[in-house]
Amino acid sequence: MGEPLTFEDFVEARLQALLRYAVMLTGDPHTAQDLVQETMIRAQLKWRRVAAAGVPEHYVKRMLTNAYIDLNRGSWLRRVVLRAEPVERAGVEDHAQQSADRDQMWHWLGRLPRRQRAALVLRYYEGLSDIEIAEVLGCAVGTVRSSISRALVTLRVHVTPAFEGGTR
Amino acid sequence: MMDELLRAAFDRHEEFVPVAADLRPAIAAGARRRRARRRWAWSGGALLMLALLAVVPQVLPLRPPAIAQLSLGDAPPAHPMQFLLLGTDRKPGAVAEPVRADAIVLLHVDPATRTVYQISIPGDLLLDLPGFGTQKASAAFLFGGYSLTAQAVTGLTGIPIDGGAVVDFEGMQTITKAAGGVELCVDERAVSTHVFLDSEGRVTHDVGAGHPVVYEVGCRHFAAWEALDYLRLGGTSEARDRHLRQYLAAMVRQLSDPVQLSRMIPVASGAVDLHLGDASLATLASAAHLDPARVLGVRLPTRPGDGGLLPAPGGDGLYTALRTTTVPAWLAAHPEQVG
Repeated sequence: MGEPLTFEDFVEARLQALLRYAVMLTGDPHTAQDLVQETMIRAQLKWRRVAAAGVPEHYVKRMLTNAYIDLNRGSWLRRVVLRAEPVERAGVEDHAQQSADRDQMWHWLGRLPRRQRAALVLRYYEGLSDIEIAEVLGCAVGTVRSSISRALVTLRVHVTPAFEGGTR
Repeated sequence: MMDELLRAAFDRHEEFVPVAADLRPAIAAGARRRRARRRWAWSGGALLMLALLAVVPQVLPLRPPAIAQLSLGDAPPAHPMQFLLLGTDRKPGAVAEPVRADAIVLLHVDPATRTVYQISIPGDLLLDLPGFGTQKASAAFLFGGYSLTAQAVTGLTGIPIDGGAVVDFEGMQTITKAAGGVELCVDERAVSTHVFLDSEGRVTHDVGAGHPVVYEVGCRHFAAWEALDYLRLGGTSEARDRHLRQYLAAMVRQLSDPVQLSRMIPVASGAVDLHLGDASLATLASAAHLDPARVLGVRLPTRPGDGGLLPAPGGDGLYTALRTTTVPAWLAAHPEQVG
């Protein structure tokens, strides 16, 4: 075993990637920032446990994803995010509203159940395998696959490819 | 095909991703704060006073000097600290009135040079208040108290705040009284609009009862009521901020006397609302070895804007200097901002 990964090294190497991931999850830079900030604070406080995990990045991603999925439930993030408007509305809807015409895909991503959206982001943005996605989401591989196929069905129904293709 | 559309949608939104570096101070400060909260044990008035001025120079006056400190191993960190001091306009007895912070002072404590820099944030400075848009700095307290004000100041300077205190008019008077008044130097003749002397030389708040109290140029001892009155005068908010910095520096000098300090401790707890944040006993103690003569005032570079003051471009240099502990160099290059 080499030197254990320090928190600082992890931040240096992975913070930007986690922010990207959080933006794709939440659809909103501000919520993403709050989510990452809170997750990283928690990760730092229990860093020894995080570093001992097989892939620390997956561990942190799992913390972040759980926090995102729990946003609905009046979770810890609700308590820490000092925001005038409810987190739910903070960006996904507003942002989608502005660019609804331009970006149907983003709009419908925002309407998917959070677990389904997370699975899509992990596969199509982060490029993880289904096994890795299952690890991050803490569920069975079969569940990952069914989440993704259900999400794709929803998107297929609502997103008009011609419209989407000719927008930019 | 759907997967290509998805990938394209994600790629389009990469431009909205915040910059990681901006988040790092907040993460570091958040973790420190929560660690401190875990181990924090309240130990009363002494700490209240420490955090209020952040700079009390000799709490441990009989302790051998710095060399012995270094060998302790767990000596407090030598990194600079930021404290936020808010003076509110809350009046005694007024319950329903909105409260603003009309004095906002950022104290930058540099243990390495044993220096404290007081940076006044003008109440009229327009800041971005998370959740409330652009507002005057003084209104941050109205919307979200100490924590929102601290957040807005951090937003401006990019530097996390280690702790702070809120004091209202009455609290300040109590503290000044306990200190037995304060030595102040008047730089501009000021005529009171609140306090008057009647024909028998008695102090009254009755407008028109006699002659207003006048503060002539020069240094002298001020009773608590005089000091507080003087601090509320001054034609401009900039003058008031300057007077407050002079007052704080004078208080620090006085409290470097342990007898004075011990007299202060019992009253401070009732007079000040303390927000220790992540300031632990150790970090506060490291602030205790400061030189009372090295309490310098710094003016924040601002420019007039629409409906308030705006941060001037020169401010960025100051914030960078604060982050990198190179304030002396910055001040040498910008002598007009000292005072």
